[in-house]
Amino acid sequence: MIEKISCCDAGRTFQGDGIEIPAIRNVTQEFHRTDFTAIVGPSGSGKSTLLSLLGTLERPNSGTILYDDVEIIKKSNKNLADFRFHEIGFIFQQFHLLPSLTSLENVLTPLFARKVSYSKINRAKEVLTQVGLSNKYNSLPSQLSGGQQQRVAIARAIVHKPSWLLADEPTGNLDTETGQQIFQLLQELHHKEGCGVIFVTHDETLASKADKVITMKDGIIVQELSGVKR
Amino acid sequence: MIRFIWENWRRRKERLILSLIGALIISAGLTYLVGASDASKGTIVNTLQDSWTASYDILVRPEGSRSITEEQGLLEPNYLSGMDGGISVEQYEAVKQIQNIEIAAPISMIGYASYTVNFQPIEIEENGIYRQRLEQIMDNGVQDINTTSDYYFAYGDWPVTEENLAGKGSEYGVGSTPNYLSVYTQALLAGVDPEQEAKLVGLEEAVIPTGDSRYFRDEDTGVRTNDTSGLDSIRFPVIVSTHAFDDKQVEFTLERLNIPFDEGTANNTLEEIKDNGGTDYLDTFSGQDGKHYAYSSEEAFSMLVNSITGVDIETGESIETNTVDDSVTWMNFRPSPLEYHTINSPFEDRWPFAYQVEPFANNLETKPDFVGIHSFREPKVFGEVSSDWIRISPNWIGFYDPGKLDISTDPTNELPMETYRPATAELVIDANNEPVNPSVILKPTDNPYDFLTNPPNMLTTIDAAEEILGEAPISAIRVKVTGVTEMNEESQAILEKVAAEIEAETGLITDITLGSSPQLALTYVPAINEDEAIGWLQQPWVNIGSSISVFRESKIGYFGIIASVITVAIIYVWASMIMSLLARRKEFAVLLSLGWRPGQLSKLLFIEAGIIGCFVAMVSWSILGYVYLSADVFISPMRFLLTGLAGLLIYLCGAIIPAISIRNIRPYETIRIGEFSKRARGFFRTQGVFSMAVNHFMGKWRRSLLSIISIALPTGLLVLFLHITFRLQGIMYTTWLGQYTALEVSTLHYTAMIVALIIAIMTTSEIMWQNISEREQEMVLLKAIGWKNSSVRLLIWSEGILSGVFAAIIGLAFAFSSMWVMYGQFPTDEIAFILCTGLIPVLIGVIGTIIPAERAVRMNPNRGISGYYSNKKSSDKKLKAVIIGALAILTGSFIYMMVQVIPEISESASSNEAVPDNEIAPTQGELLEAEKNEDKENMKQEEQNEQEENTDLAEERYDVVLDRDERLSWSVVEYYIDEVNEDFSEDGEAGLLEIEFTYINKDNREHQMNLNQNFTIRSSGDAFGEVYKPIDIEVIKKKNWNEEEGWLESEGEITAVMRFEVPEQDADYLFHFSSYEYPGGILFVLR
Repeated sequence: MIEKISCCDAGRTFQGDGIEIPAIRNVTQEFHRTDFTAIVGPSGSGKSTLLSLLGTLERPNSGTILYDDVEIIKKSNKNLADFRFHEIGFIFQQFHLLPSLTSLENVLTPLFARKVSYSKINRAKEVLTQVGLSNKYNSLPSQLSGGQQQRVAIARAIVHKPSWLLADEPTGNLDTETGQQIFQLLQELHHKEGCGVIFVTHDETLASKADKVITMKDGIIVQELSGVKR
Repeated sequence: MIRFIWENWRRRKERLILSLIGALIISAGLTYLVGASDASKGTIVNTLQDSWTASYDILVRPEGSRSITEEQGLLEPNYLSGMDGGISVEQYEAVKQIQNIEIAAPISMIGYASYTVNFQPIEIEENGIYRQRLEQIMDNGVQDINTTSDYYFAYGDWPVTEENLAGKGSEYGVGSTPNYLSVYTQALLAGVDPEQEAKLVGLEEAVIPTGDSRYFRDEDTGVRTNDTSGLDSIRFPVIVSTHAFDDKQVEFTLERLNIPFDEGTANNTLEEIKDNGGTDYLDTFSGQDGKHYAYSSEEAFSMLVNSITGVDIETGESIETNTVDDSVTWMNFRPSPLEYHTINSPFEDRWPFAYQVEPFANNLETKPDFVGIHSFREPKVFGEVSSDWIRISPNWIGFYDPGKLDISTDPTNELPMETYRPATAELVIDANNEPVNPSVILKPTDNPYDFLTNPPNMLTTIDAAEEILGEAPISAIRVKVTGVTEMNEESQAILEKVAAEIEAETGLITDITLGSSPQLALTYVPAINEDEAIGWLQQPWVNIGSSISVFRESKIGYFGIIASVITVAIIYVWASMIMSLLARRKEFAVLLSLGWRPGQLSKLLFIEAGIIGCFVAMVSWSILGYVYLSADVFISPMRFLLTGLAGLLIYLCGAIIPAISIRNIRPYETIRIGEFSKRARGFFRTQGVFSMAVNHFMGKWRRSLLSIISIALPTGLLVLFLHITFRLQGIMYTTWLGQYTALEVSTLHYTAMIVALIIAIMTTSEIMWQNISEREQEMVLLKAIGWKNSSVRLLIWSEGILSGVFAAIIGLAFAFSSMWVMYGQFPTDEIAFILCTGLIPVLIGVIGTIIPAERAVRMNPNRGISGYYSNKKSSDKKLKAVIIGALAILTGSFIYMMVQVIPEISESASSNEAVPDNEIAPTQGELLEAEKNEDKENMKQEEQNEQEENTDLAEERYDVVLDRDERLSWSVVEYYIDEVNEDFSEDGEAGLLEIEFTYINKDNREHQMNLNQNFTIRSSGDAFGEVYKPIDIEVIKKKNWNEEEGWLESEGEITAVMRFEVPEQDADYLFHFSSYEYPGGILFVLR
């Protein structure tokens, strides 16, 4: 269980066509598992990059990111993968389900190559039920609506019981109502499973419902609001 | 994980099927190639092996015995018969001592023993002068050589010799009465080492157990003794051949001349004869009471053998001495070689090498009786005077049958071994430059200095040979080396080592005959003395070392071909996996972000590759199994195992690079939207379809490179192999063996390259497919903004063409540099042709893009806006179904072909079929003689003119078209019109045509001759004329004609008059004859 993620002067640039594009600069920020954190900001402000840094999908060019004071990011790709498996669940804007697999199989994917103490199938069914898709085990992604697909994606993200859920605009591709439902689901998971949730969004309404709202612009955090309660 | 792979495949059936088809092509191609190369390699080795195992590995000869023809690496087929010593017994012993020598069999061509063969005791009662006419008819297969000699002798019931003939010389033309009708002849004696010869050719087993006949024993040695006449003679054991290779009939005619001869008139008559010119005078007399004695060639040969051995050839029993002379005889003549010079071959395409035998002009004073003014070989003698001649006393111990020896008798692969067989010679073109069809085998004669000579009649031991010849009796040593069991590099190396050792130890010269091949060459045998020229003989010369070079070159071929096809296949698998990786890149990124380890992804790829590899192996094995069961072909377990494993290995190797590159996928890519291209800007400004294609091509340079390489490699190899094939043909087509292997090899080369090119097409297709998939949005957008389908197609095709052009450049560069490395030269001759092959990759590039381009064209513009994926691509599915169907048919027919082809290969591997002669590619022989050529040119010209004249009429419907007074004069037939008479009524309508013709069958078999059916008169040469049958037939002369059966036997002749009723006097009638032999018919134009 990682209780705290601390960014310390973290920065990340991308190699563009001959010029360096800084995605985020000198971000220093702490995230706690008990928090339901929203990251907001305009396009290109570095929200997604920050999220992928936090989720160890990407390494920072400068600064450090500590997970309970351990600099996981310095470890090998294999260890990073193990770390992600144990601690992090990802939810993407485009859902990123594997089109050739059914919902159940999609949910099972993180467990495919792992040995776990529990029954994989039962666990997958359990989480699918948890996200309200107990009747869609054998549906292919193409047979599901956007909202349902995102639910499968969420189920997949929590199947291996991570301590953190990182969501990249999970409602971005959904209509407002479905978005609301997904958001509620995330909140539920935050409370019930005790996952730390960090989610990136454009939606000010949704963001306002978070415990903590971080606003980014041009790769830096411009504002941090906490204690915003419903 | 397997479950994951399985699910993935299950849901993407199209892709799976595509890769399965690829796998099928690879497995089928592989099965064919591994199988074919195995079979061909076997073929070559077997064929080559056949050509040398029967004889020996190394030929050791005395220094200076190389003839001029050997400069071209050609050993004449008569090379053993002409050698008469030069190697000492010490040298032979030294050779024997050399390590690894299994057999060292010496041969000594000692000389010709003179024999008087007595046929029949002369029994006459009446006094008189007699003529004994001896006619010897030597049939050499091509012509009968008749020699007639007359001998006159006087007989009287008083002692004529003492009283009348004593002191009278040859000017009287008459000799004393001989006891027998006899023939003076020559028998070749050769010396061998009994033990070694038994090991080399199984001479001991060839001994016939008639009577006391036996093989040599240790105590059989040559000894010098004083014989009954008080002269020094050499007595030695001999075994005698029971096989006659020549064919000589002997006929005697004994008649009394019509000239007075009794006790009283004898001296007067003799003086009269002398005064009138001796024998010339006697020749003018006719004979009386002629008695004729004829002996067939078999009888003549038995008589010879009986004379030599004193033993009956049939029973092995000793013959009463009355027919056998004293066993001591003279030996004066020694073997001598033929002299050749090189000439232009009349048919260079078929026989690249041609030689002419150079006759030797004899010294008329000293020449032997049995040769004329010229002989084909220079007569060599032991001495000019009889005291220098060798007195020999051959002691018969046994008979041997050369036919029972353990030597190859297959003329297509024998290496000439003249010890036991005459050299092979086939008359293919007669002296008039007319082709001889069927060809005629030339037989040797008993003349020691003829073109073809008899193999030894008698064999003795080497020590006897040494006793006779002295110092250096051995002509050649045939060496077999231990450990040389198969034709390969190791054998060659061992032999080279042993040969070098022999040369170093003894100073003799060596030729490695392993890896030699028969090489057909033409020998022109000119006319000598009064005989007619024989013509052009086809003979198998020995092309030294040709097989080993064929072997080496083709070995390069095999390894190269298998390696390159496997490489191309690996590239295909590689490309296909990389493409699949690219297509699923985002998926893999998601998996990574979900906590999959990068190593697991690599493992995933390897498992996928392994499964398909196993599939390939299974398919290969089932094809082989099916072939095995259905065609009953033996497939070696090694080949079986190898074929499957190769498939598996290809896939695993192909997965290596994708497995490495999969580790470069970063999980972050999941979050990235849209594509980052490091090369965002193009090389050129995008102005149109083509520059857009160029920029895209350059932008995805890695991928483009992959497809370029996958096309370039097979192209380059194709070009290279084309070149090698040309080269090999250069080497191979000069020998029988080579032709055979070249055919096999080139088929293999081409098949392999076609397989490789198909794989290349698939690779390109795969890459382009992926490119299109990735650019789906772009394509759709282009269409949405109004691009025409043709423009989209053009865009994709352009990229294919680009790949092709680059592949052509790289492939050709690769091929040319390889040629440079391998041969140090560029193929200047075929350069244009080779450059043309550069079009192939361009074509492949286009073919490879056709399917993807159609896919792009069919994309629906209204989907361009949405970024969603969807599994419902019904139109796409239809397209794919069509492709899959087509490919399935393709694969099916390919497999069918395989099943058909593999047994054929194996069959051809086991059979030694002769290769069609028209496959021969010419090489240059050295040219010398010019005058002959002009004649030939003229002759050809004439022939051509003649043909041109007749073509209007002939229209290729007839075998021959002749004018009325022309003669058909071929080696097998003589046919001509003697006379034509016309009898027409006055008005010129209706009348008789009377034709007298002669047909002579000179063939060695019968010809059809059915007078009622074979002959007609035709009113025109085409198919529309009238046909008239004879109304009346009168046979004027016939010989050997079987009227009932309608056959004219060999040597038969018929002259007949036929009458035909024809309607018009002025028409141009044609006299037509057709038979089994001449189905097209022989046509005489009567006017």
